[in-house]
Amino acid sequence: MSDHTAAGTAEAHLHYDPVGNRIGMWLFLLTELILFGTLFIIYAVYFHRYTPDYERAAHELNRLIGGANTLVLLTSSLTMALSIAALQKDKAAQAIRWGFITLGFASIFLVVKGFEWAHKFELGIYFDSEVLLARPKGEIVFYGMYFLMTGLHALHVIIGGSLIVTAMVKIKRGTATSKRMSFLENTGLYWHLVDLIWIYLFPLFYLIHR
Amino acid sequence: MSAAALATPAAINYINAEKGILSWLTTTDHKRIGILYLCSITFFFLFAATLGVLMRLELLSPGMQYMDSETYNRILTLHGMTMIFLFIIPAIPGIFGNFFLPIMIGAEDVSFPKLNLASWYFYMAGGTLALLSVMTGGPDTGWTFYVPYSFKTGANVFYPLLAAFILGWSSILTGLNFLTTVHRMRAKGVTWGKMPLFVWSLYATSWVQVIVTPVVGILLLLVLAERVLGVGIFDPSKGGDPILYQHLFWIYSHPAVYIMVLPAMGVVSEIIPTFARRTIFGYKFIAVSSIAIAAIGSLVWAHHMFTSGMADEARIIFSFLTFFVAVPSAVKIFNWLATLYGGSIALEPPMVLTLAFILIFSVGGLTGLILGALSTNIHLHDTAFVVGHFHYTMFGSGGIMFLAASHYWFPKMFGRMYNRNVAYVSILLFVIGFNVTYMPLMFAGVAGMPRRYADYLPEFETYHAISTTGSWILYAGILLMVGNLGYSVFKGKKTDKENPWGGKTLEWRTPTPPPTLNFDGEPDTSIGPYDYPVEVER
Amino acid sequence: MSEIAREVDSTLVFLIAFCTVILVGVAVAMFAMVFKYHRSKSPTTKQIHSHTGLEVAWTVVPFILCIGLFFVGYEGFKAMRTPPADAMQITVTAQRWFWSFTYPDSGITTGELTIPVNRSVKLNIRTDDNEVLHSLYIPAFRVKEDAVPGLDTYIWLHPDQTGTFNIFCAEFCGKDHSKMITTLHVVEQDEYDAWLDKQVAEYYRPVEATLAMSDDPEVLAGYDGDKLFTKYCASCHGAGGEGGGPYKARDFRSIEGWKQGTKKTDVFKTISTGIPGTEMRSFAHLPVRERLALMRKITSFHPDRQQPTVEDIAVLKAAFPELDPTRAVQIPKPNMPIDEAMKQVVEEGQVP
Repeated sequence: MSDHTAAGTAEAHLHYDPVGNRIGMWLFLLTELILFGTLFIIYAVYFHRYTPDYERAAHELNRLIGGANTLVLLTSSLTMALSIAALQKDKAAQAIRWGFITLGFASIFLVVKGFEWAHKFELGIYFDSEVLLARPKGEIVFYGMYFLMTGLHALHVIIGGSLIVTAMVKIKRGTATSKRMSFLENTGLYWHLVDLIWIYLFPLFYLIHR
Repeated sequence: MSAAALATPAAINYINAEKGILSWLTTTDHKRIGILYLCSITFFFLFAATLGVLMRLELLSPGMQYMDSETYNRILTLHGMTMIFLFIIPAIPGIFGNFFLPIMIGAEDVSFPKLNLASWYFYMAGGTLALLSVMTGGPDTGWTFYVPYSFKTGANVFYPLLAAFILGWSSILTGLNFLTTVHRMRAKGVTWGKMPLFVWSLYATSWVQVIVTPVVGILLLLVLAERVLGVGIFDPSKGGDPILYQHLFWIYSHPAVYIMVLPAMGVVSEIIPTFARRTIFGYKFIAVSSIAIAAIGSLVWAHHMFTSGMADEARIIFSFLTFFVAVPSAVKIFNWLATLYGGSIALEPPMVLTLAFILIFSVGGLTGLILGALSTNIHLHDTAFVVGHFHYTMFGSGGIMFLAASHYWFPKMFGRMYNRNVAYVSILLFVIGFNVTYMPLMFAGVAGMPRRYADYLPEFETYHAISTTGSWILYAGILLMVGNLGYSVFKGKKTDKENPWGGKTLEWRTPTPPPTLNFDGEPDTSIGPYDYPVEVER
Repeated sequence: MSEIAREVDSTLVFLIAFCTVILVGVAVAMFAMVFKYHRSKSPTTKQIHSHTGLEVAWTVVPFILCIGLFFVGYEGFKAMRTPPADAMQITVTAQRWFWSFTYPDSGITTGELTIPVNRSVKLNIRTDDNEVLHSLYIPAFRVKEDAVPGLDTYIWLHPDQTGTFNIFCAEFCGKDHSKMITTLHVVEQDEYDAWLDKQVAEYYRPVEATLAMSDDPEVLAGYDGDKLFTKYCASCHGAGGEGGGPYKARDFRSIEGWKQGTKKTDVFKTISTGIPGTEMRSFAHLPVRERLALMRKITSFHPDRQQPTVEDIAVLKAAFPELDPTRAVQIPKPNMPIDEAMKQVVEEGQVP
C-alpha cells in the first residue's frame, strides 16, 4: 500500500490524458466565444438602434485592406494545421517550419492592423477625441466597438503567437511529440478560434454598408 | 473498519506528506488546495461579516453617528463584493469541491492539478486587489457596478473591477477543471447514476460558471475601458445605453445566484441521508432539478430590472419565467423532507444546521415569489425587503451550508473532532441572530424603506434597531463557531475513525485524514453513495 | 392611498399568507419527522428510493400554482402601467441629490411635489445625459420607476385622500443617496389652485439687478440661504463650504482659481448656467430669489472679494430677464385640454 502511495505521487503528475486535455480546451474556447459573443450582442443592439450611423462609419474603413488581412489570417490557419499534421507524422523540423510561417502571417496581420489604426488616429478618430465626439452618437459607438473588438482580437493574436512560440520550443526540446500532441493541438485550436472570430469581425465592420 | 486504521496511527496522509509552508504554496494536491481555500475564504468571510456589523451599527439609529455617508457606501460595497466574489461563489466549490469531488468519484486528483493551483492564485490576486482598494479609499458603487455611476464616481473603482475580473477567471478555471474531472476521472463503477448528489450539483454549477462568467468578465473590462478611455459604449451622452449594461450584468449575476445556491443544495443532499441513515429520496429528481435550476435560472435575469425603464412586455415575460425557477427548488425541498421519512435521525451539529437551512431557505424562496409577482415587485424593488430576501437565500444557503459542510467533513479533513456542545451553542446563536437580523428588514421594506441608505427617516427606527441587535447575536454565533472549529484544527480531540457519521459516499471509505492519492489501493465502488442497509444496527 | 395601492396591498397580503401557509407546512412536516424518526425512537430505517406519483404531484402542483401567482401579480401591474389619457402631466427631474418638479402650463419648478386629490397625475421622469441612475419611489402609492439618462420613464397616481407622503430615491446614486428625499402634498383642488397661483406669481416676480447684487436683506425676505445651501450645495461643497467631496468641488472659503470669476455677478451666472464640462450643473430652474439667496450664502464664506461694477451688473441684467423688472416676463399661457376647450366653445355659442 505505502509503495503505491510513494510511487503514485510522481505518477500522478505524469498522468497524461489527451481526451481530457481536449475537453478542457474546448470548454475554454467556449468561454472565449461567450466573451466575444457578449461584444457581438452589444454590437447588434446598437446596430439596430443606429443603423444609418453604423453604415456611414463603416464606409470609412478600407475593405481592400480588411479583405487582404482576412486572407492572411485564413492562410495562417492552414499553415497551423500543416504544422500539427507534420508533428503527427513525427516530422519535428517540418512542424517547426510551418509554425514559424504561421507566426510570420500573424505578424503581417498585426502590422497591417496597426497601420489601419494609425491612419484613424491621424484623422483624429480615437476614444473620446473631439473629432469623434462631434459626430452622431451611433458613429461614436461604432468606433468604440471597432477599437475595442479589433483591439481585443489583436490581443488574442498576440497570445496565440506566444502559444505558438512555446509550442515550437516544446517541439525542439522534444516534450511535444506525436505521442504528446495536446499542447500543439490546443494551440492550433486556439489559433483557429482567433481566425474564426476575425471572420465575423471583418464583415461586421467592413462590409455592412451598401 | 477502524481496526485497520488504528493499526497504522502514523500513516502518511496529505497533511504530513510534505512539510513547510512552501510545500503548501506550491502543492498540486487537490486536498491541500482545498485547505488553502479554506484559510483564505474564512479570512474574507470574517472580514466581510465585520463590515456588515459596522454597517448595521451605523443604522442603529437615524442620523450619521460613526461614519459619514461616503464611508458607509464604501463599506456597503466592500461587504457585498467580498461576500459575493470572495466568499459565497468560491466557498463550497473551492474548499469542499476541491477536497471531496475527486475522492467522491474515486479519482486521485482533478484533471488539471496545476491549473487548480493557478485558480487559487488568481483568487488570492483578486482578494489582494480588493484589499488594496480599501487602502485607496475603497469603491462606492455597490457590488453591481451600475453604469453610469461606476465610471463617474471619484472613488477608486479600478482595483475592484480588476479584482472581480480576475476572480471571474479563477471561477471559470475551477469550473472547467471540475467538468473535465467529472467526465474523465470517475473510477470504474462510479457511473453517472451512481455519482453523489454533491458531485451532480458541482457539475451543474460548473456549467453555469463556464457559460456565464465570461459575460461579466468582458462587461467589467468594458466599464474599466469606459472609465479610463471614455469609450462611450455605456455613456448616455455618447450614445451608450445604461440599461443594456444591466441586462448583461444580470445575464451573469442571476445565474451566479445559482452558482452560490447549487453547491449548498448538494451538501444538503449529502448530510440528510447520512444523519437519517436513509437512502436519498428521488435521486434522479434531485439530480435533474439541479440541471433544471441551472437552465431555467439562465432565463430569468431581467426580474432584477422591473423598475429599470425596460419595456413593459419584457417585464411581463420575465415575471412569468421567474416563477418557474421556484419549481425545481420546491422539488428539492420536498425530496429532502421525504428523505427524513422513515429514517433514524441523529441531530448532530451538521444535521441541525441543515434543518435550519431548510426553513431559512424556504423563507428566502417564498419571499422570492412575492418579489417575482409584478405588482408587488414594483413596490418592494430596491427596498430593505430585497436585502432581507437575498440574505435569506444567499447567506441562508451558501453561508449556512458552508458552515454545515465544515462541521460535517471536519473530522475527515483534519483527523480531529470539535467540541460538540460549543457547536450547538454557536448554532443556536447563529439561527436566532440570523432571523432577528434579517426578518425586520423585510417588514421595513414593506413599510417603504429603500435599500443602500446610509441614513433613514425616524419612522423606520424600530426595524433597524431590532435588526442591529440581531447582527450582534449573529456575529457572536459566527465568531464562536469559527473559533470552535479553528481551535479544534490544532487542539481538537484526535480521531482516526474512517466513518464517524456512518456516511456511504467514498470519502468515508478512505483513511482519516486521506492519503495523498486519496485511497489505499483501488477505491471500493461496489456500494452506491446512498446504499444504506434496510435494517440498521443500533 | 389610491385604488392601485390598495390592490397592491391585497396582493401582498394574499402572497404573504400563501407563503406563510407553505412555510408552516414545511416546518410542521420537518419537525414532526425529526420528532417521530429521531434515532432514540426509530433505530431502524425504511429504505424508500422514490415514488413517481409523489414526484410528479409535487412538480406539477407548484407549477400550476406558480402560473396562478404570476397572474395575481400581473393584474395589478397592468393598471399601474396604464395612465388615463386625461392625466395631468408633471415632469420630474432627478439630479444628484435632489428632485425637481416642473408643472405644465405655467412652467414653474418646485422642490416638493404638490398635486390635487381625486385627479390622475402622470409623472414623467427624466434626468440629464451626464447624470447617474435614480429611482422615483413613492411608498404610500406603491409605485417606483428609475430615472435613466437618455430615456423617458413614467409612473402615475390617482390619490383619493389628502395628506403628505415621502418621496425617496430608490436607485443607488452615490454620496447623498439617502438624503434624496422630498415630500408629496396631496391637497384639495381649490387649495391646489390657490397654491399654484401663488407659486407662479412668486416664481416670475423679477428683482432689479442692482438691488439683487446689494446686501439688502429686504430683497430676499422669506428666503433662507442656509437651508437652500444645505439642500442644493452642501452635498458637494460641504456644510462649511470647504469643497472636496466626490467631485472635488470648489472650496468657497478661498477665492483662488474660480473658473468663471468671483464677483457676485459671476457667482450668480455660474449658479444659473453651471460650468460646462464639469459636474457643476445649472440651477436655472430655481426661482430667481432662491438663486440670489444661494449667491449671498456662497459669497459670505469669503466676504472680502471684488465688488461687481456697474457694467458687470448691466451685462447680467441684459442676460437674465428675471433681473430686469422693465422687461415683461413671459408666463407661459395655460394650455387648455382640447375637450375642455370644445366644451367652452359650445357653452359660449349658447349664450344668447
